[in-house]
Amino acid sequence: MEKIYIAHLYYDLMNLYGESGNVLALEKAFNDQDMYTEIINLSIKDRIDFEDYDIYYMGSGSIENQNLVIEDLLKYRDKIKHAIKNGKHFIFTGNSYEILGKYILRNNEKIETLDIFDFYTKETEDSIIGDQIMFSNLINDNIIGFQNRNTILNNKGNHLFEVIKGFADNKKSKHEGLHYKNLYATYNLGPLLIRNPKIKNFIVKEVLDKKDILYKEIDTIDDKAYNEYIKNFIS
Amino acid sequence: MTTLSIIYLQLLFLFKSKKIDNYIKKTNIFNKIKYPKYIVGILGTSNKNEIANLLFHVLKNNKYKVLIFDKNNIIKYINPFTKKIKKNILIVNSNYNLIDNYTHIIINNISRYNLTSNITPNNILNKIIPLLNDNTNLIINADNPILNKLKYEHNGLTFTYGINNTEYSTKLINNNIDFAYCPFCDNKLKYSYYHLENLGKYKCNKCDFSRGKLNIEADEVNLEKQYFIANNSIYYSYDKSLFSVYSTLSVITFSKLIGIKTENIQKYINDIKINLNNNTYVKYKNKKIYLKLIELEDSISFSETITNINNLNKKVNIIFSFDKISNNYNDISYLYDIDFNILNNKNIDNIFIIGKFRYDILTRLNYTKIDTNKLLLVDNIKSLKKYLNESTIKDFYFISNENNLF
Repeated sequence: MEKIYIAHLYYDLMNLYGESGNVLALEKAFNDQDMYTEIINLSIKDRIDFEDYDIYYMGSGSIENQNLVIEDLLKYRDKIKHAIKNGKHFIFTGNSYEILGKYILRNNEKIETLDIFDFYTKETEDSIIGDQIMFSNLINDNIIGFQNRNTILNNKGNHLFEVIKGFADNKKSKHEGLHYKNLYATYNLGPLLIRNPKIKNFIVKEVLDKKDILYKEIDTIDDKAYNEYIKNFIS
Repeated sequence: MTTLSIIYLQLLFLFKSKKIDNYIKKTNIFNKIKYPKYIVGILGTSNKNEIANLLFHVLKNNKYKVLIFDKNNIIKYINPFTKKIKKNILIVNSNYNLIDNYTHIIINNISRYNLTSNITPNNILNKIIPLLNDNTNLIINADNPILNKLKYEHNGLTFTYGINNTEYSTKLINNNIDFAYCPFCDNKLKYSYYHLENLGKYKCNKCDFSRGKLNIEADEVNLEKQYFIANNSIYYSYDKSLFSVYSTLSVITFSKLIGIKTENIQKYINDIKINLNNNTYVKYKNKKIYLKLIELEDSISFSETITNINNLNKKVNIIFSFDKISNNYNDISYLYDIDFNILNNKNIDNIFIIGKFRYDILTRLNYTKIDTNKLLLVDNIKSLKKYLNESTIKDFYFISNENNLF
């Protein structure tokens, strides 16, 4: 039986808001599709191969940890860019999204980032914190999330979500996140894929499609939790 | 009338008013008080209430006049004419920067806690560091590397405590830990063993940073019988979790520092009658329902609560009841920092889940190895009562952020 390999990038540095939940969600979703799954935890000093794995996931971290990760990740820039162009699946949540841009402006310091996408991040004085409701064209349904940051970024295209309630990439934008080929990046924190089973299933189906494996629709408790949340807090 | 007398009267007026916080900031009242000889700050993220109460108990029984600071009632203890607090030890249990002249600061832990306010654990520590001055005696849990870093940086005296390798020491069980890297050179820390989260024995292979030799160390721990041995003396631990050992060690360290003899510390720790471990229960027919209140957005206190239940060594049922999941928002992320696999135990008969967030809790538990047949979604109190009536298990543990049973 074919196996799905999920690389949890910087699992010990970028995992501040229970984001290992997203890896659990992917693992279980593939298991439910009768696929074996292997999680590979990778971090600083590991040699990260950007061809070997089916999905690469990174969550959020403190500023200190984000800086360590940027420093380590820069050496892989061309390989990551190549993998993205070739349709590898990448999922970035929280402030790992910022790493994809040109740089981060923090305390008048310019921190060079991967420069794969044409945007930059800067600190704001105000905290951006709260529950989110967004719309996703990919699944034609609402996404629920949570953000806690004091940065904004000026991504101008390839948006992932349309913001219905909450915060966009910046004050002028109505959009949040980035979607390019099979890369998904969002400021939303925490177990986003557990809270939003439809987007998780969308990604799982994409991965299976690449392998010519038929995706089976499965109703899970995650769907009930999503529906209950919508009923209690949004409807 | 002195300035302080006027402030005293104004504070009495504001006593029950929510405006008191603004007033405190505006008048800087706490800088005008004549403080007692010892001001102990209990800061950080874990077990601050337990440490404050245990310390109060030990000190009071050793004939000290002790007061646990409460900004809403401290005025009662200030002499308006001399400006003195009528006590000789003041215990301050708060991360708020209300007082900046601590003689002693105890930090039991720094971890991910209330992140919707603090954003990162580093921010919690960054609020504490300015409170340290050359005269502050720092008492830290050296099993936490980010706290042990302070030993190298603090100009005053630092005293350390921790737990040695015991039967409860483990390998890493959970990747959701803070400060896994050396705080000096960013090299990944090498652990000989872990206790909880990132607490344990570590060293950096690149620089000379390590846990080092401790002032007080628990060498033998028995959680089931609730005791531990530290520096050749035996002490009672107030519950069945390693955090109760850490908290008690902090109390022992402070008490020794101010000159209380070991036997007098032991006597009152071991005789403790106060209800530190939140062990109250209500009776429902022939069942006992133990109330376990937890703080929202505190994965460690949640883990500690379920660890305690797991260590009871008797057949129990658990009720999770959450109408609210985070302090101001609907952030469920910290639930995924808790290792609920602790409850994958034959002594846990059923887990009932009730409240507005019951589906989120059920989903979380579904991502563990707990037998899903044990997980029962309960729609309302009427159904819960039915389950209570039908259950053959006598002891129920009600875990919630509020005391809203029935």
